[in-house]
Parts: sequence; C-alpha cells; structure tokens
Amino acid sequence: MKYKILKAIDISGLNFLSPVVRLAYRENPRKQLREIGRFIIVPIVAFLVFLWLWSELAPHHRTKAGEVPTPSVVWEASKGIWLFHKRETAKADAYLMSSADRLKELHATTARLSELDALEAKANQKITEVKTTSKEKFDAIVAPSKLAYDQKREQFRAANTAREAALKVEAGKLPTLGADARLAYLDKIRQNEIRTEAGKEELKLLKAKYTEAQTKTFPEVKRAQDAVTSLAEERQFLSKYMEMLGKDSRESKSAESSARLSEAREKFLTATDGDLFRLGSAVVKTEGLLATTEGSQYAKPWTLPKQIVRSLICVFTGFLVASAIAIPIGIFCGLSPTFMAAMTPFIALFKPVSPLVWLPIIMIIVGGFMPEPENHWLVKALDHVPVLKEYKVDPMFISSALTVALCSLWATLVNTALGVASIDKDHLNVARVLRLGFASRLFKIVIPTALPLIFAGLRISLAVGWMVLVAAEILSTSQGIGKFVNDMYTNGSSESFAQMFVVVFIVGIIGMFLDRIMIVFQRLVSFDSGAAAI
Amino acid sequence: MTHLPFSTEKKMSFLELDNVSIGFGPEADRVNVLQDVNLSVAENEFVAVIGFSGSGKSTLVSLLAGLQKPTAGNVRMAGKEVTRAGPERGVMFQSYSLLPWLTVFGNIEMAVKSVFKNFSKAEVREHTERYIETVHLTPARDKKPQELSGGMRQRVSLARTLSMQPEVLLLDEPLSALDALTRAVLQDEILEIWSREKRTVVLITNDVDEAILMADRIIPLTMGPRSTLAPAFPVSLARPRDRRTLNDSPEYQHLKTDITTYLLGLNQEAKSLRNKTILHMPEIQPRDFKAPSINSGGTWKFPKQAS
Amino acid sequence: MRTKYLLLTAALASGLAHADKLAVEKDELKLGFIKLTDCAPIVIAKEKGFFDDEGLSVEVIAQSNWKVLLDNVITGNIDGAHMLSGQPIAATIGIGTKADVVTPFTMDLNGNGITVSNSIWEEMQSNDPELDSDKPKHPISAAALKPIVDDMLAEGEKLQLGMVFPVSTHNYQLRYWLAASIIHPGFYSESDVAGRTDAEVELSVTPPPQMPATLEAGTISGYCVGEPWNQQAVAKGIGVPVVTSYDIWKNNPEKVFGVTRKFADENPLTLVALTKALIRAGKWLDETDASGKLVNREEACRILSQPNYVGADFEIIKKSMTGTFTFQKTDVRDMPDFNVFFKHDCTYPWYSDGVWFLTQMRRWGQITEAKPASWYAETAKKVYLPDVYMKAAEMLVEEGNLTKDDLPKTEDGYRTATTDFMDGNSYDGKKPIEYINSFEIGIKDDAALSGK
Repeated sequence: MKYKILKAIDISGLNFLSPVVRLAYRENPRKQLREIGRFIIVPIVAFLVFLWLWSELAPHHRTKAGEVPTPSVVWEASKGIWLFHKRETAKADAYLMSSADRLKELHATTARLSELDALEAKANQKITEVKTTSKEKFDAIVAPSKLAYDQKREQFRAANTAREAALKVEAGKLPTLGADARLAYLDKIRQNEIRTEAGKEELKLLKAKYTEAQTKTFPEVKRAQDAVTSLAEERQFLSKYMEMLGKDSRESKSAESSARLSEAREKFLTATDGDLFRLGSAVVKTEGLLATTEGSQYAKPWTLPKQIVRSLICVFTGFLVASAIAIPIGIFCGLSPTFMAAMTPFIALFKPVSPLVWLPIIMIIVGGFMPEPENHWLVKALDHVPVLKEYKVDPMFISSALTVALCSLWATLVNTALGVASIDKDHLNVARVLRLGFASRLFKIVIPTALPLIFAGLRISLAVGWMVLVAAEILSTSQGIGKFVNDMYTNGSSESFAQMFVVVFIVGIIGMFLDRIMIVFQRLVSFDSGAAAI
Repeated sequence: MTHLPFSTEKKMSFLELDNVSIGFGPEADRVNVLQDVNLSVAENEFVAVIGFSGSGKSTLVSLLAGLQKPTAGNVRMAGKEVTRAGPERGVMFQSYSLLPWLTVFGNIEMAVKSVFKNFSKAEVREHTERYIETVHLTPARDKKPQELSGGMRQRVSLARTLSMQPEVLLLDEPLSALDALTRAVLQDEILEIWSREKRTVVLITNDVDEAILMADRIIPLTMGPRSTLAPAFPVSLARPRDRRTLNDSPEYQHLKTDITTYLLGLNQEAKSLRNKTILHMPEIQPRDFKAPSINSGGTWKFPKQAS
Repeated sequence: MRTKYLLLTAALASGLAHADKLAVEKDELKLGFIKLTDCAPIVIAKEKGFFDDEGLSVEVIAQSNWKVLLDNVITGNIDGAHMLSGQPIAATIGIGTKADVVTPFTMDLNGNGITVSNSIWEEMQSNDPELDSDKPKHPISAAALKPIVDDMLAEGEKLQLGMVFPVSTHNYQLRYWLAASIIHPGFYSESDVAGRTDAEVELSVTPPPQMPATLEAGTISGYCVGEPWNQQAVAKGIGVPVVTSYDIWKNNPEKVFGVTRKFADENPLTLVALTKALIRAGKWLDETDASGKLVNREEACRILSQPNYVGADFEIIKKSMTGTFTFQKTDVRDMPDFNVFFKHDCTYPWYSDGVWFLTQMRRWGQITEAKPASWYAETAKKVYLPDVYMKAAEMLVEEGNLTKDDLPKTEDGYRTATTDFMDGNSYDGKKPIEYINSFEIGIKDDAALSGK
C-alpha cells in the first residue's frame, strides 16, 4: 500500500509529499522530518518572506498615476472580482427563477434593502465627519504655504510694476541724453530682467511647496469613501436584482406575452369588422414573440471564472492543433534527413516570431474564411455541442487559438524530430531482422522510442502556448483572461493595478497546474526513469 | 534447400561467405574492413569466430545476417543469395537491444507476432511463454528491461531470437558485457538449448575458453584492416563438455595454447606491419670518459659511421 | 397565491401600455463600446431595460481600442458600436479601412477636455499671469502655450501632445484649439499619414488608459481625451484640464452609434428598434427637474462605474457627469452641458455634423484632393440616416415615450449656421468650401468648387 502511494506520488511529480507519507508509516522519522523541513517548510517560509518584503517595499513605489499595491490590497481586489461574478450570476439566475423562489428572494432582498438604509445613513454620516476633519487638517497644512505664495506673488507683482514704472519714467528723460546714458539705461533694463527672473524662480519654489502641500491625502477618507461605495454598489445591485426577480424575470415576461397573445386571439376570433389579415398576423407575431421570450436567457456579462475556462479551452485547442501539425512533420523530419534539411530554414525563420506579429495576419486570414461569422458552418456546428456552445466559438477565438498553435508548435516539432532521429541503431536492426513493414516499424519502434522526447516537447509547447495566449487575447479581444486584463487596464479605476496582480497569480497558478499535468504524462511514457526537469 | 546426396557439400555449405570483401570509401581509395573472406558453415554446425577488437567481427555478423551488403563476393544461405535481413537468420546483439517500453513478454511477443503472422492470440501467447520458460525467466515475465540484470536481459534477447525459430543463430559477442560467473551460466544454457534444438550457430567471441567449450570449429579472424578468416581449428572434444573437467583434457590444453599463440602471433605481426617507418639515429658515443678536456687541446673522435 | 396574482396583474398592466413590438429580424445582438463615459446611452438602454422593451437581447462588450472596435463592426463580430463621429465618415471615404458604415443616432454632444501637465500649466501661468489664480477666466486659449511651443522649436524640439485616433473628434478639436492661436499642428499628406508636415507640435495617437502615466512621465505634455481621463488627471494631481470641447465649440457632435450598411440593409426594423431604445436612454440621461438638476445622472454614474462598463471610480465619473466639471481642485464649475445626451436635438443625425468633419479632414489634408461642395453633401447623405431616426422617434411619440416637442424641426437635416466657436468663426454646413478657406491655418481650396 505504502509503495503504491509512493509510486503514485513519484509519477505525479509531487515528490515533496513522499516524506509525509513515509513519516505516516513511521519510516526513519528523523530523516523524514528533515526532508519535510527542507521541501515543505522552507518554501512556505520563503513565500512568507516574499509577501513580507512585498508589503514593505510596495508603498515606496508610487507615482501619481498609480502605485504598486500591497498584498492585502491585492487580496481585496480578488474578493471584489469574485463579488462581481457572484452578483452577475445572481442576476442571471433571478431571470430564470420560478415564482416560489422569486418570492423568497424578493422578501430577503427587501429586508436587506431596509438594513442598507440604516447602514448607509451611518456611513454617510461618517464620511461627512471624516471629510470635515480632514478638510480642516488639509487647510491647516496648506494654508501657510498658500499664504506665503499669495503674499510673495503680490509682492513680486507690485515690485515688478513699480520697477517697470520707474524705468518708463526714466525712459521719458532719455531722448535728451546721449549714448552713454542710453547704454547705462540698457544696463538698468538688463538688471530689471535679472531681478524679474530671480523673483520668478522664488515664486516657482513657493508654488512647488504649495502644490506639494496640496497632495496630502488622508487614508481615513479613502476608507470611509470605500465603505460608502460598497454600500451604494450593493444597493444598486439589489435594486436591479429586485427588478430581475419582479417584472423583468422571464416568467413575468412570458406571462405578459401570454396575456397579449390571448388578447390578440380574442380580437381575431371576435372581430366583426377590421382587417382580419392584420389581426391574424398580429396573433402569429405574438406567438413568435412568446416562444422567443420563453426560451430567452439573460445576457450576462462575461466574468473572470468563465473567461478563465474559455482561455483554457482556447489554449487546448491551439495546443491540439499544434501537436497535430508538429508531431507528423517532426516524425518525417527525423526519418528523412533530406526532409529535415528542407524544413530547417522554415523552422529557423518562423520559430522566433512573436505572437503579437502573427495575430494581426491570422486575424485577416481567418476573417477572410469567415466573412459572416454567425452563418459559418463551423460556428453553427459548434453551437450544438452541449458544453462548448456556452463559450461561443467565434473568429477571434479561432485567431487566438491559431496564434497559440503557430507559436508553440516549434518545441514539439524539434523535439519530435530529435527523438525520431536518435533511435538506437540496434532497435532498427531488430526491426529489419523481424522484417517489420514501414507502418509497423513506425508505430512499434520509432514512435515509442521517441515518445519521451515528444512529451518533453509537448510540455514546453503547452507552457509557451499558455504564455502566448494571454497576449493574443489582449490583442484579438477574444473573451478570456487577456480580455479581462485589457478591460481592467482600460478601466483605470483605483483597483486596476491590484487586479493586474490578481491576474498574475491566477495565470501563474493555472500554468503551474498545466505543467504538472504534462509532467505526469511525461513520466508515464518515460522508460529511462530519468527525473523530469522542473 | 537443394537436394543433394548426403555428402560433404551438404555438410559444408548451409551458410557461406564466398570471397566476400567489404569496405568503405570510394573505389580508388577504399580501405577494406574485411578482405576475401571465405566461410562455409555446415547445417547444425556450431562455429566460433575469434579475434581481437576492431577486427571487424560485428561487420562479419552484419554480413551474415544480411544487414549489410558486401562490396565484393556474396553471402549465401542454403544456396540462395542473402540480400536482406530476415527472421531465418536470428541475431543476438552485443547490446541486447530490447525495447525498453515493452515487458519481457512484450518483447518476445512482438517477435513472435511479426514472424508468425497467422498465429491466433492464444498460440502467440503459448509460444512466447514457452520460450520465456526455456530461458528460465517466467517469474520475470511482466518486468521491463530496466528492472532486469544484465544476464537476465541477455536471456530475454536469446529467448526472442529463439522464438523466431531461425535457421541460423548469429551471436555477436553476446556474453562480453557480463561478469565471468554469469557468462558461465549462460554458456551452459546456450549449449543446453542448442543440444535440444539443433541449429546452425555462428558465435563471435573474444574468449578462447568460451570458444573451445562451445564450438565445433574455431576460426580466427586476423587483425584489421583487411581482416580475413584464418584456417580453422577443429574441436573434437566430446559433448557434453564439462568446464570443470575441461582443464584437465590434453586436447583442450593443446588447442588453447595453439590458438592463443596463433592469436598473439597475429598481434605481433600486426604490430610489426605497423612499424614500417624507423628513424635511424646517428650513433654518437664519447670515446673515453677520461679523455682530456677541450681546454687541454684534446679532440673528439668520431667512429666510422655504420652504413 | 395572492402575490402571484398581483405580479401577473402588474405585468398585464405594463404590457397593455406598450404598442405592438417591432418584428425585429435579429433579436440577439452584440454591441461594442469603449470605456468612456459617453457610452452611457448604450449601457443605460441595456440596464434600464429599453432594449428589452424592443424585444432585443443585447450583449454589451468592451472593445480594447478604436481600431479593433471598427474592425469588429466591419467583420461582423459585433453588430454595432459606440463610435467616434469621424469613424463612419472616414470608413466610407476610405481613410483607414474602407467600409460602408452608417449611423442613425448621435450619442452625445461635448464631453472632451484638453489636459496639460503640471509643468506646462505652470509655464502657461507664467506666460499669462491671468491664469495664475484659483479660478482663471475661461475659455483658455492656446495663446499661453504659444511661447512654450516657440521656445521648444528654438531648441530643436517639438511639444508632444496626445489624442485617441486619427479621425477622432479629439484630433480635430485639439487642432482647432491650437490653430486658433496660430500654432501649426501639422498637415497630413499621401506620404505623411502621421500628420506632421510643417508641424510646430507633434500629435500622436495614445490609448486613453496610458495617458495619465505618459503625462506624468513627460513623454507627452498634454492630451485631448474624453472622460474619465481628464478628471482622473485632476484627482491624481498629474495635470490640469485647460479647456473642454464645449468651450471650443458649444454643443459639438461627439460620438455616434454606427453599424455597417450591410447590417442596416438586412435588418432595417432591428435598426429602428435599436434607435428607439437609444433615444429613450438619451432622454432618461438628460432628465432634468424643475430646478435644472440632472436627476438621473447619479444613478447613471453608479451603473457606469461597474467593472464591465466604464469601470472607473464612481467619484471620478461623477465629477464630470452630474452637472459640474473640475478644472483644478480649487476650480469646480457648473457645466450642466458638459455631457449632452438628448437636449439641443443632440440625437438627430444632422448632415451638417458630417460636413463639419469632412471639412476638417480636408483642412488638415486627410482628404488629399480638393472636392466640390456637392461631394460633401453627398458623402454626408451616405453616412447619416435621419429617416431611420425619424421613424424611431415617431414610433416613440405614438407610444408616449416622447413628446412632439422632443422631435427636431428641420427640412433638410442641416442645422442653422452657428458662431458658437471659441474663435467666433462661423460655420454653415451648406457652405463647406467657404468654411475650409476661412481659417488662417489649413489647406485652402479653390473657391470655384463651392458652386459645384
């Protein structure tokens, strides 16, 4: 039993767990504790140190345009993302709810709204208080520098005007005087200029101080503001939610449509005069509308969890396309040096090309193939696949997937070629002695030998693909993590930077899982029990 | 197979190399690895070819197997020219060449399936298990090659080759990579199997003892380049041969001495052939250590130059 | 049970109030927008159920930039979008991607601002001491900027300014403002698509979210952009908005709702339904009570601050959309018309609006050849669809959602001539050639073309 668990752990690459298992079976406790210390405790401590360093250093990096958020801010932002998702899901659910559930929800919501009244009153009071006190403090801080600046400015202007007036008076006397006096006068003007400039410099310094004083912010104001905002947002959500539960719910709308249908039919059936054709058409139209209403869904905006899934689907699509292209070509390259020579210039030329360069080209090509996306056979076919149709395959999705494929296929191609080319000559001799046909030789000897390298290549390809995907999605605006990043960035809200950090961790964690899965596959096909590189 | 009256012809030429040479490089500048090799192996004869490393032993096996084509002369089995490799000439490689992703069973099964295309699943399994049993590896049936020792791997290789039921067994230094004790065990096994299932065997080896123990004829391979087969040493020791008593047999001792001397002689010859360029150093000797120094007006005298 | 009965009755009552819905050809639509506050009509139409009332199920999807938005509309990935006024026109005449894009609805008037960095503002203040007060006199022209531009030219450098798109209202407003103070913003030509020929300053395209950061870094010294980016600059202390587009041209057309001609031809009733919903949204946004307060704006700001819409902080959006505009922390002014979504016949697609943009495109050389006056009128007719608007508006009047007074009174779709510009220049949409020739800086066309 113990060895089975250990073997499973080894295959999955989670080797840091084996000391724990061994300890549970009381094998050599001291050694296991040491290993646990090294492989589990130390990384955790390192991560905590990193978090501490981050929260210490972040506040020092701030510009007016933005600042590096601390871990707690990032955590708040992730909660905010989740809250938005929950609320939108609630709205979508409300649309479809049956009347019993709707009534329950309506009651709960009304209760909460009245609670909110009290809470909001308190919060508003608090913010007024805080704003007043902070304004007093602000004025106290700013007032001296403002005063200094205003005074100096007045002085400067007055002095300037006085000096200029004096000079002008002198100028009036000049026509009677000779060149010497005039030159001396010039000197005086120069002096005046210098003094004006000096005065301006002084003013600039004072102005800078004044502006600097004005940048004072009060965190308590922000906190009070945030409290008010979150309550207001909740109120906004709840009122919309109530609408969705009430008159905007699908049931209500269907009821409304049904009522109108009965009315129209009544009219049609009992009309004595009037255009029966028109009345009949009205009935048929209303029937159509009723059918549409009953089958409708709430057009929910895309939220991060759904975008993550779409990104994953996209990356796997691209990855499968890449593998389907790279593995056969790689096998041919490995089998035939001539073919390899033919392919080398292409590989060398296209491998380094960045996805941001491929994407616009691919978008044009895909757009050419799908001039009317909604009527395209591929989109229509996929619309019938049960889970997939939720995620709407469209030309932008296909462009992103193809870009991922184009950028990630090189690793698999090169590794496959290498794996196929470096088959043991003796194995090939065995094939010759056994008189294996080309197909047998290929599938029984060539490919199994090359599998470890093929999987090494696939693992790299998947990692590259995941990196490329986020960039491709940003550019192609295909719904996914990239689009989320782009949207958050263009929001320019105070949470935007923190949300970017949340995405960093999400992308990293998902990438880590993808890599782990590939490690497991790689270990399963490796027959040389070599450790896979991390 | 030609139907000839029971005669020396049938006895001598089941497998033959007829003036075979093989070399590499363009015609004008060719260096032949093997030159004018002639070999006749009778059916069911056990022949050992013995030689130094680098003399082209593996090339010889390749030629016999049909994995390489000679540049001159031809290779024949049962009168027909050998143009490609095939299961009728089973090869056991020095490096076992087992497929590491298949188990013991899988490796042998693959050979069985390729050769006996008409077998049913049950027949394949039974055939495979029989040969696994022959080499006493049934407990290790489902292990992968990495999990086996060198000796066990070589046994699997032997089982695989035998399972193809080839007409000729070509063994290319199969036991060189093993330690002496395992070698001994496997030698006995091979002999025992051969005595039960008579087959033509050509064994390449570098161990004189092994050759004498196992073969009917021992043929030395001269040193390379341009190696060729020297006249054979027949071994008329009675079978079954017991290694423990072999040392006491006079014939064994004679054979061993003869062969070893011959081989070492080959080595010398080869060495001498190589040392063609000799530099003659001038013979300068001081006439007398007690000769007067230059300062005292003495002179050096040179002896007459040896011509 | 009783509650259910009540619910049903309520539904019936509201249902009977509606006239027959249009039989729309396509009821599931995707509309695109850019995260600027004037996407409000589309967002409000969705959130307040105006699209639903027309039987349309609309998904509102943020686009990453103007080029991607236009491409998505043209390729059909989205059905229609919030567009710069210049985009349908430019696409129709072939500046940039050529496609037939049309518009039945103008989304808003005004809404832009020109913001300069703190250091530029200080220099402007020292050039013009009048500006150095807590509430300087508005509108501020670029006259105080001119000495800065000249100084930089003398040092061999050019002042860098940002705007959002080559055919954006921002580009034309920025150029108008600069040229009014005799600063040459540069000409376009066949070989110069960046518009820098003879320029005394350099205008470049910068994405709005990057504007505050690049302003602070000094890469650009100022930019012209919509909200919330000017108020963001003030709130963060990065820059100072010196003038708004309202100051440059009172009640100028800003964004339109654009669809491809193909969509319009294939889905005429859907287009009318969309227009109806948008008109209602515009009216809701500009709802004013007896005291002149815009009553729905705060709710609109709350909706727009959701991360899937504009996403900026509520407080920032509020600064410009609730009837005031903040120029400096000490300078908050009443500006109820900073954003106009319905008043002053905003939503009607005026031909004169189209002609104005064409004249500016010609003035700066984006239109490379001289065209006769008739060409301007014909091109405007190709792009603007007042018929669709009137059909939608009339249906709304029938339904009781609009009053007869709300409809614009016009025979030919041209506004009367106006001098509501900062430099007092006069614009008559029926006299494009004269208008082009009326500027000191700008390409001049042969006056003979005006009669053609």
